Amino acid sequence: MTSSGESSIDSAEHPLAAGAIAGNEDLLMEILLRLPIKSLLRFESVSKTWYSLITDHHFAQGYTRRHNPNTEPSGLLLMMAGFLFLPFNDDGDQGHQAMLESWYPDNDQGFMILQSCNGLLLCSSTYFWKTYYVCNPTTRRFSTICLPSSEFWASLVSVSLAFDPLESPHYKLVFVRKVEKRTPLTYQIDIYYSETRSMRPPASGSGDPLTFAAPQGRIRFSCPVYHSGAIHWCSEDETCLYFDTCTLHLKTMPMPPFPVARNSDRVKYFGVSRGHLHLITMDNHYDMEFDILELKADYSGWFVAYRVNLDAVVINFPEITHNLVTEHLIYHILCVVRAVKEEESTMVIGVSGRIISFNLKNSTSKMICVSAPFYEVHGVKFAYQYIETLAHVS
Amino acid sequence: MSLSPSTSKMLSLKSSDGKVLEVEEHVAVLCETIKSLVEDGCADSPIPLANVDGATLGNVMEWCKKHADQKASADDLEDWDAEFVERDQGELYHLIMAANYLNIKGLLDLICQKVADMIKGKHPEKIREIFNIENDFTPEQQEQIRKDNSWAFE
Repeated sequence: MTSSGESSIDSAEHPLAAGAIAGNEDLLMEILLRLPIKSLLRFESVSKTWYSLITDHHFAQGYTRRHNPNTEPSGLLLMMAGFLFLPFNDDGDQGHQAMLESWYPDNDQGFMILQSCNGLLLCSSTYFWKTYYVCNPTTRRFSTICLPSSEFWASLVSVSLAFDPLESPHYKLVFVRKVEKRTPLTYQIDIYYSETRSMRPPASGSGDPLTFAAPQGRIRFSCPVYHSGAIHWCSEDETCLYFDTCTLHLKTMPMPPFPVARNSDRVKYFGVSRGHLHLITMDNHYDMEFDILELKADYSGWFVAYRVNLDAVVINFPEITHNLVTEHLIYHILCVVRAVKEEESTMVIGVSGRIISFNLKNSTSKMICVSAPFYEVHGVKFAYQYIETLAHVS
Repeated sequence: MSLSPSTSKMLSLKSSDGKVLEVEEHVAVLCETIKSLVEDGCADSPIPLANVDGATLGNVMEWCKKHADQKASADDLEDWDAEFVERDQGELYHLIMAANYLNIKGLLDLICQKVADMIKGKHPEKIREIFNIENDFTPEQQEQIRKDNSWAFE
């Protein structure tokens, strides 16, 4: 009775044994924990018991603890007029329209992604920046966070999501605001805790709100990266900032040394993958050879994790053309992905409307998407890693 | 108490259908349930195992014997396990129940993974059939859940 290609499963001869397993929640849980997420979402509609087991908070935590340390992103979400999901494992796929808008609550206000963090997405409404959403694109569930006041929103510089399912099932949002009428320019940090659904400023030693001074425009607050319990913001200076969301301390760390000629737009990539914080800086735009740097574990500096030469990509895909005027190959670095098997680690780039995955070990490349209307504005690339997770957002 | 092979004595295990199996103690104690009985000095002979039939008990002890073998390498055990789970569905279900009752974590892990691999990607209707589960959702509830997770059915 099974369709061709399926392994034959039949309980007819052993209804009691199979039924006994399904009736034993501990055993059923043991089996469910070993299933891929896609199957679990399918199986939510088996019965009310299965639904409540799979959607349970503790099950999500147990599942995450079991699978998360090795979870690689399964694709990229590109934000354009809509959202395009590009799976990494489909060759030359056109991508799927990811209908994120369709499950987001007030879609008349527009919807955008701000950050991807261990499977969850920080999103906001486009026109009225008063509402933020933390979404799980896998389970398509979301939580809404409203800002306390319009003054709060007006002074807002940056919002970041801090979520590590191996540490806690709860997440935090880190808000950075400008404090008015202060020279030098001063910022204040506030934190939203999902556990209590409340916002509060972290008190410094003296009990005052946590504030800090920084020169305008040098810190890239628009591209927060969560790594090792802290939110990191890169900068165009010799040092940059990170905020430890556990100890609530703001600290500085070094950026790579400058060459003689200072470039105001030298950071080409800043991102995290499976516990490795990566940075790519370039002294000239669109160098064909560059290094992928990785932060040292003690935060004392950076080391070269990979040397990249993109000539192999041009040879592999002759249809990719250099810009006729500048004679440069114009490309955007979308993400560095550290695979569980090191020889499968890749860098994903957008070039000539194509999305290409470049193997960092053997320099081979493959097309992920043949036509992606891709763009980059002020260093924000609108490309977000998609990592499957069952994590709850509320 | 030493449980090394050289000093291992024989234990008698009695299955639900009355079959008696003679097993070396250092093999049988891979079952945590039996180990506690032995350690508490309650290992009457034969030990009655009311929830495990003779055929299944034989399969369980075959697995325990292999895994109690100090000479078996990790690769060797992996290959052997892969072959061990290649069996009839019904036997697998009985093995899960037995591994759970006898509290053998390694065997439970192995069979649960095998069953997960067999059922993944299946349609919910097929899952109900396999596990003899009644669909207790209303058609409307069913439709809503399907809609929420529509991408999982692509």
